[in-house]
Amino acid sequence: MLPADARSGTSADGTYTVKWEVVGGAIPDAEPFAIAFAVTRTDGKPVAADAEVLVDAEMPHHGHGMNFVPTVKRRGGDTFLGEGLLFHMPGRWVLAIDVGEDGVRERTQWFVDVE
Amino acid sequence: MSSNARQLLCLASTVVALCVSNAQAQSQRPPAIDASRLPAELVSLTAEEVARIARMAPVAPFPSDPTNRFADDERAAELGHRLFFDTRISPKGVSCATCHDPAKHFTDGLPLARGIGVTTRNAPTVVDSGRRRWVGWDGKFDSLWSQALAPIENPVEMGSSRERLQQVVRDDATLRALYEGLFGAMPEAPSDIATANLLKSLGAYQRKLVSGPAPIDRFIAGLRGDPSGDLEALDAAARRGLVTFVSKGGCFQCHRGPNFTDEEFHALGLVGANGRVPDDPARLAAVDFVQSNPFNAAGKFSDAPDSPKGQMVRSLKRAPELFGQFRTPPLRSVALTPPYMHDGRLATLADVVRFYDTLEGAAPIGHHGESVLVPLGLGEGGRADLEAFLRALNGAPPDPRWASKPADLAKTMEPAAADPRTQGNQGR
Repeated sequence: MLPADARSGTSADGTYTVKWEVVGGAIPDAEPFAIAFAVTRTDGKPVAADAEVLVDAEMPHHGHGMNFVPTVKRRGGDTFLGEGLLFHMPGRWVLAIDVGEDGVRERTQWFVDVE
Repeated sequence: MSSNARQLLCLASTVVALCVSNAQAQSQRPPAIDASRLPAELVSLTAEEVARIARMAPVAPFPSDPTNRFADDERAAELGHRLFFDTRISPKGVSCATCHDPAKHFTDGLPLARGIGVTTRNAPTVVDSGRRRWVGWDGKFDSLWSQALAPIENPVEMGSSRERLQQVVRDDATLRALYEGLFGAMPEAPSDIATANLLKSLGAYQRKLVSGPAPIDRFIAGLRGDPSGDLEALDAAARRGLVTFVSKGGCFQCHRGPNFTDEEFHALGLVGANGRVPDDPARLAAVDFVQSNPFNAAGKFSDAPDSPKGQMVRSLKRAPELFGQFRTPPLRSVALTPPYMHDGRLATLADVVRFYDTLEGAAPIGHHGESVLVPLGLGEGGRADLEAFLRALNGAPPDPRWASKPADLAKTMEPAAADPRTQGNQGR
């Protein structure tokens, strides 16, 4: 269960609400980390069991992303674990969580400023 | 970027929900620095910049290497120590120590490493290599032990083979006894397991080469009020250079934390032999190599294929932006390892600082267009200060027991006679 103050966002077309937090509470300095997140549909229906859920991040100002492809595991219900993220530079990252159902993928994204 | 500007950018986005504060990240940070102790050169720094200094020390112990269960085994290190200096492994009398000479901080001091012939890369130091996430300028290897085979079998380095490596051990009573005391009977026929065991011994040896504290460590201890600290460990020039490093120089963006590296990869735009653009695929090619290497962290010879390192190898991203990217070199003891860059093109530390100050010799960056690389305009004085700071990162030398040829090995091998470079073989 994610805490009430977990970061939250709504996907581009409003289909999903996504909440996430860094496992361990802080993004480590140029080291791997994981995020726990929850995806719920705004229409109240459950997210399909075969939904494709992806996590990625990039530094738009630098023109590069992470050097790794995170893995996503469904932990049960609407909760997921994204592992293998690594922010190797300080600056502005954009974290994206994509959810795809029935051939339609929607993205939710956040600025993450790393010192 | 100012806090206000950052907030505006957040609000301007149609999809961004919020900006994440760094406040919580502070919980994992090293002890803070007492601002009241900052010397005059540092008082203008912001709290963020002072926090960057705090992260430079202390240095943590080497990370463990679960992919090599002998990584911290003293007997494996002893076997690896002997192998490292053994010129019999190469038919041309080249040893690991030919390019990683203890007298030169385990480099060879040449622009391009030279074994039997001349390679295409500068020989990096082995000291503190146990801290590296990736080994080699392009990170072609995911561990010290998996790296050790490449120079042995490279025709222009040692020009040998894994079979010859095993035969040397098989035929030498001391080496064989060390091997069998650790791994069991030495196979009489070539064996990949025996190869992996010997590589892991070489990896264990290299983990013994650890540098000691540097002036920067004593300086930061002093800023924390630690009795072991010394605020005079950095002179005024080095203190000014430190300010540049954590502020306008932007050096901290890649040379991060106590090891002064992010352990990842970046493109500087250094032009290749064509004189116009970078031409070395570097990390882009290395990703393919490391993932297909049977001795990688995720492979069948790894002692922990499902370890975090194994997972990292499996999850490496292959992307065009990796073209021309090289590993961020650590900066501890950097002044001891000239020349510099992946191909040794810059002879001195002053040349390196001048490069970053002017970006002369760099092509416009395409794939990995980091806006952080801009001419700094430090001028001669600013460059000298930054160089003085880099020289304050020189650590105490490694334990001489490990940082020299095994005493009894020296009696049986004459390096001068075995070194092909003294026999007119260089450049083959």
